[in-house]
Amino acid sequence: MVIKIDRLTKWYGNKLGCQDICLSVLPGEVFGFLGHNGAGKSTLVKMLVGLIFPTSGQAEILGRPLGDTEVKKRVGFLPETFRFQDWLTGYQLLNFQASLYKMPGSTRRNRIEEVLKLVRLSGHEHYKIRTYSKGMQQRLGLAAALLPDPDLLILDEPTSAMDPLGRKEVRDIILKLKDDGKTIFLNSHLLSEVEVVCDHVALIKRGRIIASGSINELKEGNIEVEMKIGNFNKVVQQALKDTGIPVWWEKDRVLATVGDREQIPFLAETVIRNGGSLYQLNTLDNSLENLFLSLMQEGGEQN
Amino acid sequence: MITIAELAFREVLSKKIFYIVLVLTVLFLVVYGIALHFTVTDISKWADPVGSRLTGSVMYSQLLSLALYFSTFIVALMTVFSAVGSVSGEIESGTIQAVITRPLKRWEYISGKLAGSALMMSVYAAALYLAVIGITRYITGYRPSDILPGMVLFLIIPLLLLALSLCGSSLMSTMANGITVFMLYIIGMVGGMVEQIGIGINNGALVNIGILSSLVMPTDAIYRKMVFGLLTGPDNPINTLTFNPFSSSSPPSDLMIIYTIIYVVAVILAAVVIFNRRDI
Ligand SMILES: Nc1ncnc2c1ncn2[C@@H]1O[C@H](COP(=O)(O)OP(=O)(O)OP(=O)(O)O)[C@@H](O)[C@H]1O
Ligand SMILES: [Mg+2]
Repeated sequence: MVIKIDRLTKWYGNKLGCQDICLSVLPGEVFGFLGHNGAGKSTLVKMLVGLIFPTSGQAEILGRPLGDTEVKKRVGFLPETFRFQDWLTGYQLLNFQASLYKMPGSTRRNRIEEVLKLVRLSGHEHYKIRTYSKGMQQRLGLAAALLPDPDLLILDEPTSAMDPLGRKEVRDIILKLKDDGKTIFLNSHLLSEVEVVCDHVALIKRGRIIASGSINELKEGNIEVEMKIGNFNKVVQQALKDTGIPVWWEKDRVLATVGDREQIPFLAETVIRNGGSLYQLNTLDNSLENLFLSLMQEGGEQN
Repeated sequence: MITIAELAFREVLSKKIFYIVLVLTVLFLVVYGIALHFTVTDISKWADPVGSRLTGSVMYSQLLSLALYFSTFIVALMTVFSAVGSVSGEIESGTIQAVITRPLKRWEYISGKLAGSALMMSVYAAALYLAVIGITRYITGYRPSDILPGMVLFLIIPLLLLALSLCGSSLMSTMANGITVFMLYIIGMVGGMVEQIGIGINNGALVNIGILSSLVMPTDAIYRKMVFGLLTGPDNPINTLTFNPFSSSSPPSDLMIIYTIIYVVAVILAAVVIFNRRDI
């Protein structure tokens, strides 16, 4: 097991960062950790890389408890706030990072050139980081994380500053690393980003994990129902909530995730019985997006 | 650790302010040299050779102590300004996140920062010290005693402030730390003055205030010890007879030096312990 997290909890004073997180990530897996702003994604990752200390619980990375220096040689990390010594040039920064990773001088030069090429910064490496755009700085951060050819790569929103092309490039890098058997832990609030690269995902809301499993497991057995409801008032809304089926709505468009076909007529009945006018009801192709949205809206309250 | 130290060193060299400070330091030395020059021409006009020699050595030693006092002040200011943000600044900007998550112990980070800044400040302080002494000797021929021990004491002052700033920097924000360390330094300075006055007018209470403040912040005591060694050696018996707030008539004991060294070590250890446990 590459990452094994056991009831990790972090309180910032009396403010919850995350609570009772249990996760395991297998070798060669791309693990997506999804949640809204302030859900606690970065909190978890910061505990894993030793920036902050857990209030309680344990975790192991590559078989060693948190804080082990030897293990850090095999871990690459891209922080959410990718800020660097901007008075250095890109090349100097990577050279500095290489000495932090205690990489021997002989392999350094080649490796630096390799990662520069990978993140498409070749040609910019002799300019000061101060002159880089945000996206370029994030690419540089990714290059630094890739420098030691890590067995585990932890990325906290690696594409937050990148353009669509950059996002695709990062996606390709992740898939390539996966092919090489590396393990990747990816924090994101973009489902679309996670969906295409991740084997496993966990959803976190208000510091707690509300769902986890492989993408297929999460999709499986869930049918997405879309309804157009007239007279969609509080009564109907409450009745829908009371069914226990995860629902999510936007004006008169209502999305529900049912686990079973038999629940579809029941949904329709609930709407009609409470005075809603059901104009339209169709089942959608199983999209993780809707599951994500409904879980995010409903899942937290149930906990 | 060496990597961090090297980077800290290079960071200073990359800053414009570093070169501005160098230029201003040279300016300070030039002003001092000019002042000495005019004092020398003035005194040499006197007819009485014995009197002029006596007055000369009193004047020069006073001017030298004045220059050293302000050199200490400059070095202290530089140290505090350059070190208060060395850790907190990196935390505030976030650059630290891509550093201490690498295979590096937190104490290595702190000691690297310390070593880099200590080297930089020591070179600067030593150069300033030797320049002041050298200029004095060249222009006036005045020769203080115990120059090397004096230099060691002179270097202890930035080291102490550096350790304190670094410790505060791993605990507080840059701003809070800067204010705290600087206030402490001022307390030491005022306490030292008060003590000298207390000795001058034979007031025990004032002396005690001075001693107390030098325990809180020993920089001034170290300074007094340094000037006493420099100006009150066997060659300069006259100086004990005159009162000079920038000088010293009764130096702190050697115990004070030991206390200061323990103080510095304790502060560095505290910095490491604090930084080891803190969230970033
Ligand atoms: N240093 C801190 N002090 C106090 N509370 C904090 C601190 N850092 C984070 N929090 C709180 O912890 C919770 C989780 O924050 P975290 O940064 O982990 O969220 P996130 O999921 O990474 O969000 P984002 O998508 O915005 O990056 C938030 O409610 C936040 O307010
Ligand atoms: Mg975050």
